[in-house]
Amino acid sequence: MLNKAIERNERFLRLCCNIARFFGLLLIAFVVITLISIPLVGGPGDGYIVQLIPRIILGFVFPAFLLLGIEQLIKCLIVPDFKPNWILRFGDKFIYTYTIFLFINFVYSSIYTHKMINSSGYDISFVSQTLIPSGIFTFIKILIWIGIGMLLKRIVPIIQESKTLV
Amino acid sequence: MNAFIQKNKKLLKFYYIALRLSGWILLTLGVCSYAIIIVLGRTLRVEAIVATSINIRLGGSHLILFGLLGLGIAQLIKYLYDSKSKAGFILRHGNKFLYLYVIAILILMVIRNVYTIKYLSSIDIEHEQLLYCSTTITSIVLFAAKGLVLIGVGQFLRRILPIIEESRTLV
Repeated sequence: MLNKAIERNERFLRLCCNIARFFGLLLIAFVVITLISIPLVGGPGDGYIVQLIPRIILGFVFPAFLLLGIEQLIKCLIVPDFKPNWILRFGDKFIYTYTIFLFINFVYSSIYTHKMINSSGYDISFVSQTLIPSGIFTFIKILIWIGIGMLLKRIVPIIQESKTLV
Repeated sequence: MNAFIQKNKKLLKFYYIALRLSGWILLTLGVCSYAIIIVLGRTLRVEAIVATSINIRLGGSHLILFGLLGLGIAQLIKYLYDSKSKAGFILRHGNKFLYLYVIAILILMVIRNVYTIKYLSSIDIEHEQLLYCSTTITSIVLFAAKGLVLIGVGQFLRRILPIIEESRTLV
């Protein structure tokens, strides 16, 4: 029954796979071009690259790996002899690393916002206006991503186990 | 696998509760932000609120989606680790939620494109036809990619539940 459903939608699933793969590789190509072009063209200052790298990782590298991971996961479901590659095997570790970056980004942007508010002289409470809402949202986002990592680690063996069943 | 579950049962239970709580917090915040902005915008008719309401609504829908995602993952964790539990509502209809999300981003894309084209036509710039085309084509390509990947994830979710169910019945 399940295999029939997969066979029926195989073309569509393959299309999804190819699109995920294409955009994942496109993002990686974009990151490589950016990293090569920065030293050649030059940025506004020395601290520019230090600020840029976490943003590139959060905004481009991780989404690229996410897309390639989704491609692998769907392939794992539709291709009978498929062996998961390193992106899928270490998917949970990628996700845990991403959550660390999320936390670092939150701390960094909080410090930056604090400095900006102090220098502008606005009379607003930093903690209530910015830190608490963004802190709650980041914390929940981290929880969700760790959950996805835990699930990924368990789901891949289950899929492979189901393929061996007659 | 079962040994792992037994060893980490407390952690998994804590994780399930934390995710569920977080999901509900986000869902409540999202719905409240929607309600507050609609009530304030209609009763007070403050220009600033009306002007920023689209952004707040977008933020609210972001919170609602993350809330649903959190609740769905919590249910999937429980379903995976607790052999007696049944798939919850969000999990059973997870693919439909994803398809709805794709429709929502399609509507948002159309609204944003209309706004952008209106804005571009209101300012006097050179090569405006080229700008229209590049903006529209970029957003359509990005939407198609995002939409197809999300539909793929929805299809995956639909297939994975029977596989997990099957694995639970194995000795």
